[in-house]
Amino acid sequence: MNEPVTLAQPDLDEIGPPATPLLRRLLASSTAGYLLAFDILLIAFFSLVSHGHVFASWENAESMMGNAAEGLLLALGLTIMLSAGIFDLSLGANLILSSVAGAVLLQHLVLAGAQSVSAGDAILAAVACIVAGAIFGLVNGLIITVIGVNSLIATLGTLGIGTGIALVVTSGSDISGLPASLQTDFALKQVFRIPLPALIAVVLTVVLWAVLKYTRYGMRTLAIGSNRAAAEYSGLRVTRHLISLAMLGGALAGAAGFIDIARFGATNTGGHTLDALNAATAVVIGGTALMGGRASMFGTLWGIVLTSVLLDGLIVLNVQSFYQQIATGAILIAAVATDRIRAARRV
Amino acid sequence: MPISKRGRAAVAASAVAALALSAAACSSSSSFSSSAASSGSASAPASTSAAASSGAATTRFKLAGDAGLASDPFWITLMCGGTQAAQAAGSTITWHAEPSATAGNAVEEQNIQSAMLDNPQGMVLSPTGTESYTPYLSQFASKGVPVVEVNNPSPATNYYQAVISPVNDPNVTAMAKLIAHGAGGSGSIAVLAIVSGAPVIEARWQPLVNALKQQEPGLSILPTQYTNADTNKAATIVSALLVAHPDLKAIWTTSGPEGEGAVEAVKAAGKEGKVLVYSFDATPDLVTALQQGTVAALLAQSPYLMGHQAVQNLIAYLKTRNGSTSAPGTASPQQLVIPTKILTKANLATPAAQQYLYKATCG
Repeated sequence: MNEPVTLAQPDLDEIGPPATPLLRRLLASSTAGYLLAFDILLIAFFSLVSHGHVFASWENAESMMGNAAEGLLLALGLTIMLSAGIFDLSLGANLILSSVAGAVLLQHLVLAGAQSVSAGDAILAAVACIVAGAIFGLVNGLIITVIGVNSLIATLGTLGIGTGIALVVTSGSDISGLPASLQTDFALKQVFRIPLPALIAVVLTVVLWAVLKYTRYGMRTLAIGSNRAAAEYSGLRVTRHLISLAMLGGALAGAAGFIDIARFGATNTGGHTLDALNAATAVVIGGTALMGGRASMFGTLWGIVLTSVLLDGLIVLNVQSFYQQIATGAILIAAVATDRIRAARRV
Repeated sequence: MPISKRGRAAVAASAVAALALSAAACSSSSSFSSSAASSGSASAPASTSAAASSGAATTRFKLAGDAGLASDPFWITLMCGGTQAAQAAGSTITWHAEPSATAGNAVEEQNIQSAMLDNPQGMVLSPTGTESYTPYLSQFASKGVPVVEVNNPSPATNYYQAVISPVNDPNVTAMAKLIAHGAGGSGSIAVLAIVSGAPVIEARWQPLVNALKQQEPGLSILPTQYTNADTNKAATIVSALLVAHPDLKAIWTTSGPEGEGAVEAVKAAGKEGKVLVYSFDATPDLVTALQQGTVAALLAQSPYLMGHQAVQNLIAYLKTRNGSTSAPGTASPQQLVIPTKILTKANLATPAAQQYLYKATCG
C-alpha cells in the first residue's frame, strides 16, 4: 500500500523570482517613469556642459517653466482627446482665436491705452478665452461625431477656418497694447518662485491624471479609445462623451490663449503654427497611444519637459540655430527608441 | 427610400460648405485675398471689365499685387498705401498675400500665378523672396505687363521700377551707434529673425550686424536665432540667451512678435533697463512698447509711402503706354529710394514720424 506523500507546504513568500527593486520597477513599468529618468539625465548633461553650469540655475528653470505653460496646456488637452482616439490639429488655431476673443473683450472693457485692468475684468477676459476655446472644441466635436468626419481631417479643416476667422476679426494683424498689469500681476507672477501659469498647468496635470485614473469619466474615455464599437454596444453615450472631450481640450487651449495675451500684451495671429505638432510630440513621447485607449498625463508632462529642456539647453550651449533642429530631431528619436527597447525587454 | 441619419448629416455638411464657399467667393471678388480663407475687402469697386476690354486710352486700370505676409503690419501698411493710391487714381488693385510665415515659397508662387490669371494690366510685387520668380517676370514682360517691385534688396533688373529702402543706409550706422552707446560699449548682442533664407527678412538684420561688427569691435554679436514670428518661441530663445550670456546687453529683433517675445523674456528675468530691446519696423505693438519704454528705439521704413509710390508710378506709366502690350521699359530712376527713420520715444509724436508708423488696419 502506498502511503500518501505529504509535501511540505512551501512558504508562499518564497515562490517566484526575487522582487525587483522599487526604482527599477518604477522606471521599467511605464514610459512616463522612463521619460522622467531621461529628462533628469538630459538636465544633468546640460548642467555639466554649459559654461559656468548656468543651465543649472533656478532662473533658468523659472524661465523654462514660464515658457512651457501654454504648450503643456495644449498637450494635456491633446492627451485626453487622444485617450478616446480623437486627434486635434487645430490646437494652435484654437489658442489664437480664443486669445483674439479675450483681447477684443479687453479692448471693450478698458480705456484705450490703459495699463492696468481690474481683477474682475481680467477674470472676465480669461473666461471669454476659455469659453471661446470650448466653443471651438464643440465645433470640432460636432464635426467629428455628428457629421462623422475623421478627427484628423476635421481638425485640419477647423485649423484653417479658425485661423481665418481670427485674421478676419483682427483685419490681418494683431491686437496689441493690452494692459500691462496682466503681465505683471498674472503672467509673470510667481508663487513659491514658480511662474503662476506654469503652476496652474501642473495642477491641471494632476487633476486630469486623477480624472483619467480614478473617475468613471476617465474610464469611459479610455474605453471609447480602446474600442469605440464595444463602448457603444455597452451603452456608453459615445457621441456625447466625445463632444465633451473636445470641449475640454478646447477649453484648455482657450486657457492657453489667455496666458498668451497676458504674457505678451498682444495676440500672435501669425504664430502658433507648430503648436499642435509640438503638443503631439510631447504626448506621443510620453506614452499616450495615438490609436487611443492608453494615456499618460505625467508622460505628457515629462514630454513637455523634454522638449523645453532640449530647446533651452541647445541655445544655452550656443548650438547654432540650424544644428538645433538636427539635434532636436535626433534626441527625440533616441528618447522614443530607447523606450521601445525598454518596453520590449519588459521586466 | 428614407435618407439615413448619416446621409442627412452629409447633406447638411455639404450645404454648409457650399454656403461658406459662395460667401467667401462673394467677399473676395474685389478685395484682399489669401490662400487660406478670404479676408475683408479694401479696394473700391471700379468698372474693371470695361477698362480691360476697351483697349482705348483709359485711365482706369486693373492692377494686381503680391504682398509677402498678410499678417505682417509692414505688408498690411504697404497694401494700404498701394490701395489708396489706386483708389485716388480710380483704378483697382487686387492683393494676394500669404497668411502665415511658414506657408513658404510654394504658396507665394501660387499667389503670383493667380495674380497672372487675373490678367492685370500692371503688377506690384513685394514677396518675401524674388530669386525664384524670374520665370514669372518674363511671362509678365511677354504679356506687356509692367512690374514694380517693392522692398526686395536683390538687383532689380527685371522690373519696370524697384521701390526700395536705402542700400547703404546711414540710419543703420546711426542705429548701430545707438545700440553700442546703450550697451556701454561692450557686451553681447542677440539677433532674432523670422525665418532664414528670405532676402527681405535678412535685410532687416544683416546690414545692422555688419555695421556693428565694423564699428563696434567691443560688442560680441551672437548668431541669429529664428522664431517663425511666434512670440512664445522668441521668448523662449531670449530666456535661454539671457541665461547663457550674462553680458547680454541688447536684443535686435526684426518684427513685432519677436520684439514682444524679447520684452516679455527680459521682464520675466527681471532685467528691464539692463537689457535693451531694439527693433526693425514700427508696428503698432512695437510703437506701444516704445511709448511704454520697454523698447528703446525702432528703425522704421515707410511701407505706406513705398506702396503708394509703387502704384502711383505704375499707373502713371500705364497711362503713357496707351494700352500697348509691348515689352515694358524701365523707369527713370529705375530704383526709387524711400528713406528710413529712427524712432525713439522722444520723436514719436512729431509729424515727421507719422508716415513711418505701420498700421494694423487700413483706413
